[in-house]
Amino acid sequence: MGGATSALVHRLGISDLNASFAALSDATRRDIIRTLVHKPLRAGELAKYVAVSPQALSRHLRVLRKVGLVVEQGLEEDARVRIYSLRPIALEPVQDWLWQVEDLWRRQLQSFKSYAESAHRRRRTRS
Amino acid sequence: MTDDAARVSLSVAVPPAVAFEIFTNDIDRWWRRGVKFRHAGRCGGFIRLEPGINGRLFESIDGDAGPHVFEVGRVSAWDPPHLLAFTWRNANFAPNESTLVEVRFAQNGRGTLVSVTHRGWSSLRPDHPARHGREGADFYRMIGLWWGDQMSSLREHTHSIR
Repeated sequence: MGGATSALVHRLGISDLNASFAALSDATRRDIIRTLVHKPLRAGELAKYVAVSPQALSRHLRVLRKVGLVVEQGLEEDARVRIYSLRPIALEPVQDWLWQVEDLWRRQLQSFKSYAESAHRRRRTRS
Repeated sequence: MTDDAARVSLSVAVPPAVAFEIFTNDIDRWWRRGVKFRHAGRCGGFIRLEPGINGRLFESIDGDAGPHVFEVGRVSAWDPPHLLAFTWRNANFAPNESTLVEVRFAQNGRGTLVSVTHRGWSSLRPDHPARHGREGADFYRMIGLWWGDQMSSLREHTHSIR
């Protein structure tokens, strides 16, 4: 896995990754994500789970929206009611990264398997 | 998926002791060649894993001015025929950056289940910290907290909404 990982890092658009991770550098924002994993919530409901002032909450939500981790929508019957939901697809580059590392190791292990099995057969034939 | 680890396992039709011995001693024979897998790329050279704790995993790469060595990492666990672990650095890692590879050899009928876990990706910065200033530091701190905690549920969630 020589230059492969670095090539990978560039291909996956690391600036997006970086923005997502920077947005998550804050404990409150991680609390927000953790809460929204289960279901979309109104700001008022969210405030019950995340112990910060309404001003701080709205500031954190703005950061998460900016990087695309959270989306805000108006309620159909009342557009003034804002609903926040998680958009985990924004973390896909991270997942793709790990999947590609797995792919490299899978190919290594396949190569190991063929070599080990034939070497073992040769040794047994000799002894 | 509970952390930042890549995990792969494969069943091999040799006993664990043989698997461990070949994995370590014969690494140059089975480790894939080419730019994707070796720093040597198309150049000649070899890869070697020195047995025992603190042994080096390194590549010797043939060059015009003679061979040079790239140290991938050091053995951090050596428990034949069950467990091998070593640190792992790519050429582009900063001096303080490292990941960890763990290889387990488990008896599986008459063969061995070989499982590789490559973890620690979350500790890497995405680019050189000098280009990011404080953002780089935030990235480090956050990512360490974030991964172990959240990747699991998020990954499941992503799958379920696809």
